Amino acid sequence: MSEEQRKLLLELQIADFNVVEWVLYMHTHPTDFEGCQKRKDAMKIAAKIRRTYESLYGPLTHLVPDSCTKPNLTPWPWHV
Amino acid sequence: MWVYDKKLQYPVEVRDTNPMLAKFLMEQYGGADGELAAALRYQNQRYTVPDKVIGLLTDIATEEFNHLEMIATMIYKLTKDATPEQLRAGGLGEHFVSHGHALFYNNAAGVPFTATYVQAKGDPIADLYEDIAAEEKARATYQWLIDISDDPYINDSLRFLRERENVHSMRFREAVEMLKEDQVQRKVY
Repeated sequence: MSEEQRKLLLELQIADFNVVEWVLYMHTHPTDFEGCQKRKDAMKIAAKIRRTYESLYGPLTHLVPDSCTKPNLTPWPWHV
Repeated sequence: MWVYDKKLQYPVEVRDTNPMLAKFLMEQYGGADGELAAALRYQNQRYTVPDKVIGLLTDIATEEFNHLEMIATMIYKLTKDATPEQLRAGGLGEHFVSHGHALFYNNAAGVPFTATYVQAKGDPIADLYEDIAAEEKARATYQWLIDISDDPYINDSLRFLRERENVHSMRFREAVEMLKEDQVQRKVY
């Protein structure tokens, strides 16, 4: 895995973690309007980084189709 | 259903072969207070808890599977290049003759995983207190692992996991308070 890919993957891990934190928080603070907005913002940021990563290296989930011509360059996590 | 995301929740970096550390980490893989027990406990309790805590149990159960994958990655990488002699010296000789280089749901002492590690009482308060206790026990186990490990890269990931137990415990405590408030309100009517 190249240094650029590793860096972008880390960015996605950080962004996705931010989403998980807001999602868990909102389960026990359902009326927190500011938290709700921040959860939405966190999801937008994470989705943007994910799109960039997947366009460069290939899909991370089966929800995004694999390219018919380019190989998937996303490694299994225990092969990194 | 679940969708697999091809990445770890937090990076796991392994530089050295260390079968003994891998053996210790098995406590969080197939042990009583490990990640498998945690994931299965919350996932199974979801069906009989009040609606307002189903989402929390679902998402924490899902996160526990992420943690299980991080622990598996550590154990795999710490042992994948080990010779049988190294495995034996690290206390994994018995593991090797049964499983080779495969992972298995054992605790650190080699005892296989059992469903008796988890509880489902069908009583939301009892189940949530069980969950809080489970998170605290897992946090303590991570602390003992950090204390016994001298691998700075593994310890970095273990510290992340230890903090997650704290956050989960806090969310479960808040969930208990939400349910208690509901009980009080019902008594008024």
